[in-house]
Amino acid sequence: TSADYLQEVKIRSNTQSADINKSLIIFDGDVVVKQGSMEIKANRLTAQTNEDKTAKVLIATGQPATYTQMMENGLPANASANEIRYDIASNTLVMEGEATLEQTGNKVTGHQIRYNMETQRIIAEGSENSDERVITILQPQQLDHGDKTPPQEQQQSEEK
Amino acid sequence: MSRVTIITLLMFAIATGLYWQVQQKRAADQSSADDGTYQPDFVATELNSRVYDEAGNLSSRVHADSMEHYQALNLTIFGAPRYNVFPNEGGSQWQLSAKTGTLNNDTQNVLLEEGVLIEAISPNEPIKNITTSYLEVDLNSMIMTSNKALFVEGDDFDLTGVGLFADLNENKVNLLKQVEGTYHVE
Repeated sequence: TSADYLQEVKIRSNTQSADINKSLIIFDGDVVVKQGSMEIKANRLTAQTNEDKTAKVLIATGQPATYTQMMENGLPANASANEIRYDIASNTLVMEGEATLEQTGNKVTGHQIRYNMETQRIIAEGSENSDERVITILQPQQLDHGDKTPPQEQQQSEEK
Repeated sequence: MSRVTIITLLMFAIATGLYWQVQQKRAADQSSADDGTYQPDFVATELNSRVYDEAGNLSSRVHADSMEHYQALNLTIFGAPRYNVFPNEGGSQWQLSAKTGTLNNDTQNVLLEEGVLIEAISPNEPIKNITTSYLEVDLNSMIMTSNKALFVEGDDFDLTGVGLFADLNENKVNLLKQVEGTYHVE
């Protein structure tokens, strides 16, 4: 099947409200977002489309909002944060507020974690205004191989 | 039996008789209404009508294949009505159509039934149309409600749900239960 990020995004919730003037749709209550193997769960989801309709951002909030997805290497990635922001056009996930991401055995925590779902690479950032640092916990087998073995090169998917 | 008792019994008999007569008349009226013998006061075909607000702005326009007006009930029944409404101070335009429509002239509430289609006429509305089987529209407040299943088609998404509350003046559309949405990724 085609890569997750090329598939339709399915959303389920208790209620929905659309503010047409602001091109804003809000899904409330037991929100589940699915796109291929990716799944985000939250209390509320806001879908915002920009003026010229080129970018659509889904903002999931919860206590926490959670994300899970099957990686190319067959292992799951899991994340949670107070807010998970998914920019569909750029396939970027930004987790903010007590953010944690577990992927291929290592766990990253910080105020904000930025993650590219296409390349499955993490760009973790600590927040400037608090002394919260980015903590990465490597599993033992990662340590044996010296530095982290880069995820295998996934095959080139067709250009959008 | 004293005279007072006789008079009381007499009065009671008369009252019972009158009450019985009133009941008989009411039953007769009811049965005539029940078997649909209400006749429309006037009918029209290929009807076009325009409604203006106090400030003289066109607030709604209706076209219908057929129309029957019932003066006593102050109801107007339309066949294939097509309402054009201009909420949001004329900033947007929606077309509401259905197989049948019933307008309560007192409340200005119109009930649209069967094959209800709500279309956004103004170009850049993210919601293109909404379909359902039943819709209530308050032509004064431009609030639309439904308790049935609905399908909402948008630019690059669609939604289904049960129950609607939409305020066309505020340009807000809420689905009340069992919401499912799909975003098409280009």
